[in-house]
Order: sequence, then structure tokens, then C-alpha cells
Amino acid sequence: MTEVELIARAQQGDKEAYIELIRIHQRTVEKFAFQCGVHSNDLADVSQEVFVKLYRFLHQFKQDRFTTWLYKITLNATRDYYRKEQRQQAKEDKLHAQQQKTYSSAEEDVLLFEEDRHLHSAIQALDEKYRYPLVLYYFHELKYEEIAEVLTISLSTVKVRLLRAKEKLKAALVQEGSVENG
Amino acid sequence: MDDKQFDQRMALLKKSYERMESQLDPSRVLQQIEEEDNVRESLKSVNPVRKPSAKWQKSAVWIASIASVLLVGILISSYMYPSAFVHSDEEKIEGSYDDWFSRFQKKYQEKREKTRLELNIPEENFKKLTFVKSADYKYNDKAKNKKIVLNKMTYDPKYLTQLEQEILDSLQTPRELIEQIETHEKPMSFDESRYFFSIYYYTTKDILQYYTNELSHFNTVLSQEKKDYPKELKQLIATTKKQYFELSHDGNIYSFKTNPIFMKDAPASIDRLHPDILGFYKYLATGSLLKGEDLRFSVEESARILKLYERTLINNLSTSGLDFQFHNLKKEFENGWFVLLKGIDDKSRYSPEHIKLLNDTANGKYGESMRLTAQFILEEFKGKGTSKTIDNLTRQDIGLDLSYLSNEVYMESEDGSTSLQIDYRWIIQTEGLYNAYISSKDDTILDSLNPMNVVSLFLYAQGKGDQETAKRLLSQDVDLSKVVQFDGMEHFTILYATDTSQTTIKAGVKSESTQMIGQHLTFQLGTVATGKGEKRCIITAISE
Repeated sequence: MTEVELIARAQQGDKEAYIELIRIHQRTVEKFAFQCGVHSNDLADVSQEVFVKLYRFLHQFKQDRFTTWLYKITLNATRDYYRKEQRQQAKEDKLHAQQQKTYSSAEEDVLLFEEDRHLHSAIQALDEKYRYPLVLYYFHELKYEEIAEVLTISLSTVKVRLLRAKEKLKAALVQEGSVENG
Repeated sequence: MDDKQFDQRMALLKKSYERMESQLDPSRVLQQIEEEDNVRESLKSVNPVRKPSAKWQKSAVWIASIASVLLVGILISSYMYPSAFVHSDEEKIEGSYDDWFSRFQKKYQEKREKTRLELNIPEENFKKLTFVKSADYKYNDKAKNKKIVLNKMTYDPKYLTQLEQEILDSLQTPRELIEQIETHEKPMSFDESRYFFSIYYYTTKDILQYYTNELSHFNTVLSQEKKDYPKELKQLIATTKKQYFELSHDGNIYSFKTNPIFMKDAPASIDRLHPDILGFYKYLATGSLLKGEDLRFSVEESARILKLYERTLINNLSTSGLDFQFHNLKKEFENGWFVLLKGIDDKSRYSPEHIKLLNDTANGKYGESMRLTAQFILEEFKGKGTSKTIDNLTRQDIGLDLSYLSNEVYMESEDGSTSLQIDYRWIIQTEGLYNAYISSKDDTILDSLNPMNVVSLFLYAQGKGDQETAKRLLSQDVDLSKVVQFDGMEHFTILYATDTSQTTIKAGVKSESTQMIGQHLTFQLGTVATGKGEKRCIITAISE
């Protein structure tokens, strides 16, 4: 069954078809959420939220934009999570400052190599206006036009932000290298 | 960092992200939807939904009518003026995707089955292996995702070929991966070898675990002689052997270990891997050197293995890659040397075998990092019959010595050249080596020296005016009387090898000594046979 058929059947309430649709897209959603800043411990919860929301809005789906639409929903869920997480972190910091350590070891399970973790952290440290285009371009192979649609920004803004994101990330990596090397 | 390097790092990270295992259980999504629906239903029955007022109904009818007219207009215009050119181009791309996918589908299933049969693992277990899950994911999520593939095809004509290769490559068995090294025409760089190891490790770890689990069916017969093993066990061992795995046992614990480099039937092409990565393979093949506090191998064998680990650790300390394996290896290195230097127990401490190990270590037979420590122990032992260094030695000290060697003595630059800082500590270390040679005149000390040590020892001997020892390090063609004279190794600041095999080493001179010696001395190095089937490194030319 093609994806279009699955969507059509899921729109008619076929839950088996919807499960199949989740299976096709769950990795993309989890990856994107992780790359946008969701901690690996929370990926299952955030992805679950995404697919519940998706189900609620499935009847509004227009065939030619499903992936874009999925990225948009994931992005919104990630932003909600991020805001909640920041509030939670502020609370945690007041109580005890150990929370970060738990997350570090969880990230180690996801990214086995230290170099990857450094780069991942450097990307996380970028402002979200640079981080999102960079992630969609390099890790999801979206075209400029698609990125513009997901992020609801103009094509020229996508290009400028990508360029800046790259410069900033390179600078961060070079700086990190120089610090590491003493 | 240039654009190419940046793109490479991003591409590697992308691959790592693709290995992420999914955590979401789709059935839980439906469960949540159903729970929410139930709550809504129960709320509805308590608070029935109010109907919108009649005045809104009237407006809604008008809005819907206008929207229908517009929609009909759009549909008619798209039917009347289709973009024939774009349409046919898209159809062509779509057609070639469909053709490719129908062929690839078969190819993928065939390759997957071939891999499964070669490994002889039932589908139920096979599909759970990490590398198979990763390949299946790429197949389902990338190749099957027509829309994404079509998008990529529009601006990358080679995309299908690359995608096909990438997916099929991810189904390679450990044997295929190892044999693939042969396709490298030149020796692999350290980075290439490191990346290859990461793929190899990633593929083999689950397979090894599966085969090791299978051994539990044969617990009662494993201790028998191999010739008496049942047919099924022999078959399992034969299957694993084809993947360069070996049955290993540590006491009563049997497991399979991968040993593609050091086993008897290892392919010749493995010498194309960078030598500094071999410690990781050795560790996979050997496992821990210790069983409790005891050594599993002889003292000499353990020290030789640790020397191999040292080389890998020194290189990886500076690049900080592969850290999950690196940390294990470093721990192993610290634990191994801790037992070797301290002596396995009070009885073996300061025994002739222990003293021989300390001497050999101080003379550089087992690498660089423990030389000075071994030297201190020997000096203390000779003076007082005991050693404070041994009493106070911790595993952390061993790690620190390794870090010192990596961060302050040996420095690997991006082009593969190595440099060595001649500081106070290095001079003491060379002095220890010199004294050991002078007191024993044992040429086997010289046999085990690496190029950097040969040059260091030459500078030390020449600086002391000891021409006899200096000559022992030179080939007969070198005329020592034409070499510049200097009064101590302290005039030099650095040694650097311009190539990875260290056939040319330059000794940098301190600025205050350049008038006496020049900017640097350049040493050419070669080897001579020692008569025991081994080769010794010697200096074949010296120039200013």
C-alpha cells in the first residue's frame, strides 16, 4: 500500500493504516526532535505527542505537503517541549544542579562517538533560527523551498540563515578544537 | 576548517543519527488517542455541545458558496492549461524511479538473504541485529520513500546509484568488510582506518553476541576436546571462522571474539590499515588481560599487548574519537601496567622475572609511557632493596604518564607527521636508556628502539662525547667526525618525523644554540638485520 493510500485509509479511521504510517515516519520525527534539542530520554514522549496531534489534524491533510506538515507539527511539539524543559530546568537548578549529568549519559547511548556528541552539542548551542534550517538541510536533505515552508520564512531568509549557521558552527568547532588542544 | 571538512563532519554525524534506534511504540499512540476520545465522550455526555447560533449559520452558507465557486475556477484552469513540459519531465523521473525500485527491491531482498544465510542466523534473530535494523530502516525510510527520492533525483542524477550502494553496503558481513580493505590501493590513513573500525565494530558487536549466546546450548560439551564437539557446535565454529571470529575461553567462560588482524588466516590486505588503530582490534580479540588480579597471559605477552595498546591510545588521546572503546582500552592499559609494575603479588615482586620486566620496560622494549616509572623503580630498588614508587603507584599515575606522552611528548599533526618534545623529562628518560646500555653493553637494548629513540640516544651519547655508543647507532657509511659537535642534548628542543614511517627525522635546535649547531640536524633512518630474523633501526645519514 502506498503512503497516499495509507493516509486516505487513516483519514477514514483505519487504525492499522495509521500505525503503518507512524512506522514509516517515526524515525524521522524522533531524529528531528532530537536534533532540535529534545533529550534522548524524552524522545518517545515527544514523538507520541506529535503523532497524536497528527491524528487529530489528519482530516486537514493535503496530499502534496504531508512531510512538510509532519516537520511543522514536530517543530511545534519540540518548541512546546523546549519551553516546558526550560521551566523545568530552572526549577531543577534551584533544587540541585545534577540533572544535566543524567542527560549526558543518555546522549552517549544515542551518539556513540565523542566527536559526534561535540558536534551535536555545538548545533544545540546555536540559536534556534540557525539551528532549524541547518538540521533540515544537512540531516533531512530538505530543499531551500521546503525549509522555507516548514519554518514559514522566505527563501532568501533560509539562505542567509544557513550561511550564518554554517559560519557560527565552524567558528564554534574551531574554538572547541583550539581549547581541546591546549 | 574548510567547507569540505565541515561537510564531511556533518555527513558523519548524519550517519550516526541514522543509527538511532526508535523509542516510540506506535500502539501507545493509539492508546492515548482512544483514552482522549473516551474522556471527550464522557465530557460530551455531561456537557452537550452547544449548536452555533443561527446568524453564524447564515454567514457560513455564504462563505461556503463563494469558496465553491473559487475552487471550481481553480480546477477548470488547471485542466485547461496544464504544464506539459514539467509534467513529462516529472513522469520520466518517476518512471526511472519505478524501474529502479522494482529491480532494487529484489536486489535488496537477495542481498539481505545472502547475508543472513552466510551468517546462518534465523530471520527472527537476524532482523534484530543493529546493522540489519539500520539497513532495513534505510530501505524502508529512504528507498521506499518515493517523494523524497524523486526530489533528490531532480538535482542529483547519481542519487539512485549512491543510495543503492549505501543501502547494500550496510548489509555487508564482517568477512566482506574485512575483505573490502583490499580495494584500498594505498595504505589507509589514520582517519580512514578509524572510521572503518567504527563501522566494523558496529556490525560485529551484535553478531558476536548472538553466536556467544548460541554457545549456551553446548555448555556441557565445551570443555571437551574440539574433535569431540557435536556436529552442530563444529558447524557454528566453522560459520564464525569464516567471519574471522574465534572461540575464546577464559576459565569456564566461553565466547566468540573477532580477530581479523592477528589470527592465523587473516587476509594479507589488513596491513593497509593504519598501525595506530591496531590496538582496538587486539583488544577485541584479546579481551581483558586480567582475570581478577591475575594475568591471563605471560608477563612478556601481556607487556607486548600493552605496547600495542599504547600506540593506539596515544594517537586517540589527541583525537578523542571512538571514546566508548577508547575508555575501555585506557582502563585495560592502566590495570594491566598496574599489575605488571607492582608484581602480581608480594612473592613475585622484585623476583628475577619482575626485575627483567622492569629493565626491559625502562629500556623501551614495551613502549614509551612506562619507561621512566620503571627506571625510577629500578634505581630505588638498587639503592634500598625496595621502591617507594611501587608502593605509591596508582592506576591514575599510569593514565597520567600516558597523557604526558600523548599531549606533551608525541604530537601528531594533521599531515601524519609526528613530533616529540625534548624536555627535561625526556632527557632523563634518554639518560636512563643510555645508562642501561653503558652498564650492560647489551645490544638487544638497541634492537628494540624505535626511530625517535635511536635519534634521542644518539644526541645524548654525542652530547656526552661518547663516540663509541654513538657509532653503534650509525651505519658504516656515516662519518662521525664530520658530524657537528655539541655538549649536551639540552641544545635540542624537538624531534619531528616528516613521514609516518619515520625515515627522516629532524632535530630542532634551541635558538641560542643555532650558531653552534645550525637550525636543525636531519637524520635519515634505515634498518639492518640483527641476525635473529629481526631488524634494528639505525641512522644512515646525518646532515645539517
